[in-house]
Amino acid sequence: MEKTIKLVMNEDKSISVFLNEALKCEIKEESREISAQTIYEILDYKSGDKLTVESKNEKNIDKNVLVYFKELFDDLCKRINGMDEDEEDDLLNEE
Amino acid sequence: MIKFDLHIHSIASNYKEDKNIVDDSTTANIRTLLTKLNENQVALFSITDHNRFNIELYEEINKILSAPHCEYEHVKAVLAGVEFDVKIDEAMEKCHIITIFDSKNDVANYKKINDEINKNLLTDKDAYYNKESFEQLLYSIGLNTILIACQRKDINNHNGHHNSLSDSSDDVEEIIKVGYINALEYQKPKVQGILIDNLKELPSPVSLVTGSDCHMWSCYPDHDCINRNADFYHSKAKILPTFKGLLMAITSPETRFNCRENNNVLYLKGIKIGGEEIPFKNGINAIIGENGSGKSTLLKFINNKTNDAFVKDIIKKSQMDHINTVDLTKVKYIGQGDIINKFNNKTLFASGSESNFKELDDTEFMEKYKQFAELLKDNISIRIRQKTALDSLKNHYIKYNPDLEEKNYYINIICQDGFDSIRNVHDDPLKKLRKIIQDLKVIKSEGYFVEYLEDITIAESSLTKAYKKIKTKWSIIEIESKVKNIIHSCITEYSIKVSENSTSKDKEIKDYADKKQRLIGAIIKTIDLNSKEVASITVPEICMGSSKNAKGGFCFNREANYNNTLMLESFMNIMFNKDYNSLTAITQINTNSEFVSALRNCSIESDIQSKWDTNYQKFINEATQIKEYITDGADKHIGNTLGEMSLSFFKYYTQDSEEWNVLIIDQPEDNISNNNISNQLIKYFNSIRDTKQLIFVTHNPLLVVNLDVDNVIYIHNDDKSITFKSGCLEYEDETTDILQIIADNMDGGKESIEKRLKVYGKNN
Repeated sequence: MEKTIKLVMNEDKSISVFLNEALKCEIKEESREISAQTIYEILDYKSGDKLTVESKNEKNIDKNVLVYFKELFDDLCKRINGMDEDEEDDLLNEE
Repeated sequence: MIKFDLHIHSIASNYKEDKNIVDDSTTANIRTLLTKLNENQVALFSITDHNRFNIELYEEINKILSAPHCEYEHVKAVLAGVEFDVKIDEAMEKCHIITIFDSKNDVANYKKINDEINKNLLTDKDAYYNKESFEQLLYSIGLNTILIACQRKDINNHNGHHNSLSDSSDDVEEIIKVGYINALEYQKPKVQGILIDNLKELPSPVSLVTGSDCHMWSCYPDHDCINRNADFYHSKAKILPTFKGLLMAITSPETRFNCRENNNVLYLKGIKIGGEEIPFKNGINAIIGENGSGKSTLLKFINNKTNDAFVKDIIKKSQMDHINTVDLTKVKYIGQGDIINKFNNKTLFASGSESNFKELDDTEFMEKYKQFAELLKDNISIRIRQKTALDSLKNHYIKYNPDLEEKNYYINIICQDGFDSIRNVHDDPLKKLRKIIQDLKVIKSEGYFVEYLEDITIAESSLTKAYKKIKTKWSIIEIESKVKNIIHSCITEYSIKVSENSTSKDKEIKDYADKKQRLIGAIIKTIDLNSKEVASITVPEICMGSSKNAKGGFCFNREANYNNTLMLESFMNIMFNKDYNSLTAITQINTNSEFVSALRNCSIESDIQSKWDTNYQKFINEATQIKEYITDGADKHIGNTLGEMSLSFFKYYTQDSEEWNVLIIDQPEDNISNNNISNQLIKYFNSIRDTKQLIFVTHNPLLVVNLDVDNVIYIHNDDKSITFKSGCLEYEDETTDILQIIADNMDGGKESIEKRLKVYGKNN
């Protein structure tokens, strides 16, 4: 399925992360950190998914923070979308 | 095979007969007897009158039989003989002893017999010789003799009136055992059965022959026209119709008397050397001769193994040629040295490329110890990690610094240890199930399982369903692993980029945060590790690792060292040093340095894994090492020496169930003691003499004389060409005497012949 990750810099300098418009995580300005496991959970990747990334920072707040964070997700999506499919299994094709 | 009858009377016996039944059995009427003998296809006979020898009669018989175009085609020869009345034990009654003389049809010998008898002629019909006078008479005659005592009843019946040996001796067995009597004569088949039973305990078989005791020739083979010989049948022997032939039969009754014709249909009829035929018998053929005479070459030629240049050369020079050929798949060939080579290569009992020892399946044992070893290593590893984690906590400290507690500018991404190290728990089960399903697919196509096809298809279908379910779970974890791996990689690149663009203050704040994070991580890890319950270790159960394959009267056994044995002690001794070779000691290890000390041949921490693997493999190799042994039908271990194995090999080889017709062996006696040749090897070869053709080269006279071969081929090489002489053991003519050739050309040949014939050598 098509999945869009949206990164939004809020006015209070917090960053919201959405997946298909559903808020998945919020990174507060006081503690700008996130775990690798949380990123994995945000992606919620299933075989066949197609991931895209968008970002929004209307007031250019801490511009580079969001730029670098988006670049991370761009990189992730590109590599995940390009993953090799499993080799065909002859036993799975049998009735 | 010839018929013989050594008990016929003539007019010379009339002094003992009161019914005039021999009145017409005269020299003038000899053709009556010869006609009857010819009708009955009797090849060899003797006129054995009571205590008399009729020279005139013998001369007439010889004259008729030696005449050109003799009309009695079946009747070949007469042997000089007398039926003596002898009292062996003075306190008992007399018995009749048929005495056959080696007169060589010489009139001078006939006269000797007659003269000596006449010197002390018995005239009263109840008169007899005592043992001493009988022996003295034979000694005076001075010819080799064969003594056949009449025995008409059980040997333990000493009641008299039958002129049987048992009427004259209370220990018939002893008389036979010492060789005083060479054979017993019976008339009725049921008496033969009684005698066989009587004499079964004797160390070697006793010759039992029939004699018609015919007095009235016109009624042959009946006794006379009133006393019919109901159920009489002629004895048969595989001999030449000569005294020596009879002697060979008497000394080897099991191979000569009443034996079967060979039912082997494919056999080699012989070969040609220089245009001359060397005939082979459809039975046992022994090729003898000096070293270098060309015996082995001849064998190779027979078996078409003629690749060597020197073999080709001899074949060409000697103009060897086949008379007929037998399909090589029906011929077994054992070349010189083949047995020792096979013994050394442990392929002595292989049939073709397949061993007779069945493969062992070590899977169960290997799986059990693999699990055990992994569990043990995990156990040690967890304890070490617990201790290491606990110890490492003292290296994690952080000094609280409010200045660095400030918020960071860029987003810090924390990647916990082991984030992307995911073990797919479905990996092994999936592989195992896949193998089972593929095996099922294979066996479905094998003929044996046709009967069970439906059941196997159902099982395959059920397992495939399970496989699909597991595969789905396996795929989810595979994807998780791949995605997490990508995330880890991207985070690393992200962190480098952020670091490059961070201010010094930002970096310090990040380092402080990372250090704090590591402290927290270490604490969590330590708590996590130490709260884990260490799995208890279960010692693997005893496994069975043996196979048996019953074939050809033997059982081929293969046994792994682990078979029915608790292997824990062996495992601990190979894996660990002395102070640690118990489970209790091993489960106390909680540092890597202790692990190094415990593990055999390990001296540094970095070698732990490799030494563990090496030691484990050594254990597996030793545990799965196999020993092979052979038991015979009685479950008796066959020895492992070359000699014992060679002997067993021949037993196996001669008793296998494969279809073959000809066995060719170059020196079967190699590596086998004379005792075993006499007691065993000869028995094995004898067991196939009626069903196969056997051709071998030998230097051992036991395999010629005692085996009583059907054909001896003596090869001689005078540097120019190969010459030969052949015939059965008793064969002799103007230029050839097979027994003499054996005596002259085989080490121990003369002794073997003397031992068998006892009398041989007296006149030679």
